[in-house]
Amino acid sequence: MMKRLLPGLLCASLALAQPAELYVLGVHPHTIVIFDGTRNEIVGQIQTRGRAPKELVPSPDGKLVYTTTEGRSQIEVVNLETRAVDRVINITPSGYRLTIYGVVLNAKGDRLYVHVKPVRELIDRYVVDPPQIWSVDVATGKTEKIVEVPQGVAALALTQDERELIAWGRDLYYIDLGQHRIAHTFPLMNPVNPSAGALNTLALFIQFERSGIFSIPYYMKDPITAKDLMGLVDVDLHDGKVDLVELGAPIPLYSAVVSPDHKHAYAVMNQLVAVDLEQKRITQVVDLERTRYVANISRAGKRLFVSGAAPFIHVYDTATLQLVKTIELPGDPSVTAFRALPTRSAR
Amino acid sequence: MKHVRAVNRKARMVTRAVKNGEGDVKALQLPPLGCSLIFDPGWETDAAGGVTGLCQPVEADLYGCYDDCWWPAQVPDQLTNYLSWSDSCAAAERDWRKLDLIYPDK
Repeated sequence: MMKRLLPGLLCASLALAQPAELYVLGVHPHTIVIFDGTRNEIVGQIQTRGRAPKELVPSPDGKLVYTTTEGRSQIEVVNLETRAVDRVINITPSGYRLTIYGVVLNAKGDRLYVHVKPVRELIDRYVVDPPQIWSVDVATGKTEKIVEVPQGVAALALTQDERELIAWGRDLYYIDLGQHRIAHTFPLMNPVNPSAGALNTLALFIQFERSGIFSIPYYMKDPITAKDLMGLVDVDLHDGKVDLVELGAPIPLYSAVVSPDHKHAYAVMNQLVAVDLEQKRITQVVDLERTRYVANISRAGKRLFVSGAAPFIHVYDTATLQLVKTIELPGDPSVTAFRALPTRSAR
Repeated sequence: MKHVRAVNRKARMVTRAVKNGEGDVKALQLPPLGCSLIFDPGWETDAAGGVTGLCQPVEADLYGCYDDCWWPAQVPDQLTNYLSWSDSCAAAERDWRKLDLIYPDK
């Protein structure tokens, strides 16, 4: 009897010892949801002070999450241990309105980089200042302007050595953080070669923590054949190198996530699409019952967590793309990030 | 119209902008992200002129669109006015009847 029980007990104790695999996403109007990807359950809800949490950036120790709220105008510091907002970092200068599109935290966890769109509110008119990158001292909230950038930046990411900040807009701008300038640009919408088509991307959904690859679908019209095409722009955050993965006729897709082994990518909108990155081809397409904006993937790459738009998280098996479980959310996730927290023991 | 003259600074700016062929509206195009970055043309039709490429169901896309200003004219925005219009409707697909209707102040 004991011999039969022992393997079961061993498995149960191993499961208990397994660190929780936690994810965060924002839901309308004032909530951050903590999702446990090992149990496929919501394990916490935190009320934000401002409306509509958007960007979500975990601290390196997984204790805090920085989120933009209230029309992307402020940054809230959310404590995942106390399940409360510690404080609000308001970086808007007096007389200005600020919209934040893109937040990233350095590895030390003491400096945020934000992309802001400042508008001066004068008595008789608004004056739109150039979009710019600021650094924010997390402890004091003090800001410093790094560089002005072209219109259209929606997301930020740091290369592993933190020498360059990648601003994803109409093109990819590589910002030298030492020299405070755009060091070089990878063209997307503004191709240098006339035989290359303009690549149209929407970098609102950010989830690269499992693979280190920041992947976004692109759409283009081939200037030579006049055919519409789609693919993936994959940016390796280890060195900032870009890989363009052409996938053929367009399927409307909002976002993509790359598996931890870099062999597969999964993209979502009205379909769930699996991509073989080694063969550079679509291997499977599954119709979804409703639109999804964003997906993240489990640490082992076996489960896909799909959300955004309507109030659900759907869990899919990555091998078969079969729906495993549906979890109802308290509100619409809308255009939220869906981020994996750094690994810690279960909270 | 030739008898109308600009007499203040704002009116002179408008006159100058028309004369120089400058774009006239910037505030709603530039502070939010702007639709020109994205591939979908709006909420009425998809890129092929149909509806199958649009979000399904349309209610589920409501906050995704108004928050980031895809529909700046069709729904109250959260940039300037009526910030609380959807506070009692957490999920638009499920609770859309709880959305506030906005009427101009009399």
